[in-house]
Amino acid sequence: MSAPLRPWPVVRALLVGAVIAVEWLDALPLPTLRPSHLKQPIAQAELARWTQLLNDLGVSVSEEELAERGLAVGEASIAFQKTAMAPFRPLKRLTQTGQSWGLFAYPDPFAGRLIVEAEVDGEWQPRFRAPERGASLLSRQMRYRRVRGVYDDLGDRHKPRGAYNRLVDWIAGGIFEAEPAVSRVQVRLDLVTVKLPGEGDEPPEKRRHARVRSRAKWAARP
Amino acid sequence: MSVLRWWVALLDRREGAGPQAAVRILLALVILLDWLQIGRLGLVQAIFAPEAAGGIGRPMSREPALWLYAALPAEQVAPLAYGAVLVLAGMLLVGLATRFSAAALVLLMAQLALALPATDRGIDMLIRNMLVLLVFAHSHRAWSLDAHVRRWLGWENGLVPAWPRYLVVMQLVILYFTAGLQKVASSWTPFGGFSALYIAMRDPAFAVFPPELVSALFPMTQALTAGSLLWEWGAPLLLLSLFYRDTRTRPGRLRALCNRLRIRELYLLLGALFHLGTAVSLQLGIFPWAVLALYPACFHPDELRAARARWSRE
Repeated sequence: MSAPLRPWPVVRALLVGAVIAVEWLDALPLPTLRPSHLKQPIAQAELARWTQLLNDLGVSVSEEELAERGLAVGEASIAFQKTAMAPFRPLKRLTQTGQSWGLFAYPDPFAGRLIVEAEVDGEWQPRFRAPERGASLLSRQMRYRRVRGVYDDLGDRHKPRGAYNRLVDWIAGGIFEAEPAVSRVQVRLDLVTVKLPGEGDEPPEKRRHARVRSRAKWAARP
Repeated sequence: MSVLRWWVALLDRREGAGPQAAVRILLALVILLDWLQIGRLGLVQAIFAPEAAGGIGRPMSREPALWLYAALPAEQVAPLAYGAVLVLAGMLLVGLATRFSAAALVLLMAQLALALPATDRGIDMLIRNMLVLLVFAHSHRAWSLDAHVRRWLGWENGLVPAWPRYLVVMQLVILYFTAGLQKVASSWTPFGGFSALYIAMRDPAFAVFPPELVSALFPMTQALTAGSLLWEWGAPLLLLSLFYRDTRTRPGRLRALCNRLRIRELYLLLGALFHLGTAVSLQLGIFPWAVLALYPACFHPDELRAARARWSRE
């Protein structure tokens, strides 16, 4: 007959097991499609591609129907995960921990290129054009992963506001301080369309989310 | 033996603290280097200060209120918190008041993450996950000032519970496996031409190589896209290979084959190559290094000791 189990090792084993179960639950890759996702070009392209694929396989479905089903599944899985993880939310909030690992889950063929330009004597001059690897402070700042996160995440939205605008203010302020000859600063996130080799020429980059800041306004800030 | 008995026995094991200490040291190094870069680039105020003090974020308007920002004056919160993170990461590195350092660090970094959430990336969350684990782990029992203090006080450092090391391995498996399952974009499939890596390498936010070179390497990026997806899906193999290694005296052809082929070593080698490859070909910041910092946990302390002895002999 085997020896009786000691209480503490049993409690610890159950606790560790529970932690693992909760972490897996949090990490479950459930579809979380929201209506706002569907406005993005990549979502439209994915929708068209998967609809085509399903039709080719003999499943008759339209893009609208597929989107509707995706949203219904997304709504249900968001609700499930929200309910299941509710007891652990205070701890997650306190420690900002979690298990959400969408590492390049949707590589975006409609990406944004950050461009910073400064106006000197009426002429726009380049200061940064992603992904240049210049040695200037601005270039190193823009490439730093946390700053990149601001323009990559927020700038890709349909109409970026909030933090994107404040990032532009901050970039402009830095340039105005460093370069007295600059009268205006422009920051934009041009739309880059990536095509695969053999798919034809890529369309020219499209100006997007341009914001201009003037020295006069910057100098008059409170 | 019942499953419960096996589970209790597994989590009741004790071993040397080397791998846990190695994870602590490597992780602290990654944190220190990353945060020193924030200071060197003059980004402390921009990322962590409230808007009124020159920050891009609006931490004061968050609900529920952030205790860090409520406790300190707006002008000083960013430099003070930044300095505290550096000190705590340094303490974690040398193993001084290790558990306290890890706990304080995770609470502080959690508050700073909310100052401007877009600057907080997935890898920062992984680091915080591991810091929480280090609060409960015994990483301070080796290669640390704490271990020296314990010796000076006449306390044993001896063997420590192994379960924190197992949880680090589990974190790696969750990270890789669920990341693989989430890759449902058509570019990860044959229908999208296995073009995911090509598209990522062309994204100006992540690109390193010029577009012409990436286009010339397209077939290679396709192979690597398929390969990396298979490798991520294969993450449970890491657990299976560790289990087979642990039970190598038991019979079974699959077990014997797995041990003979050194599946664990092969999986980790491919992982290291994958991370080093992405570090070279994509602008990913600290991601590859922070994940690689967890790899020592995949080895038993005796293996690390043997490797160190072999290395010293050579």
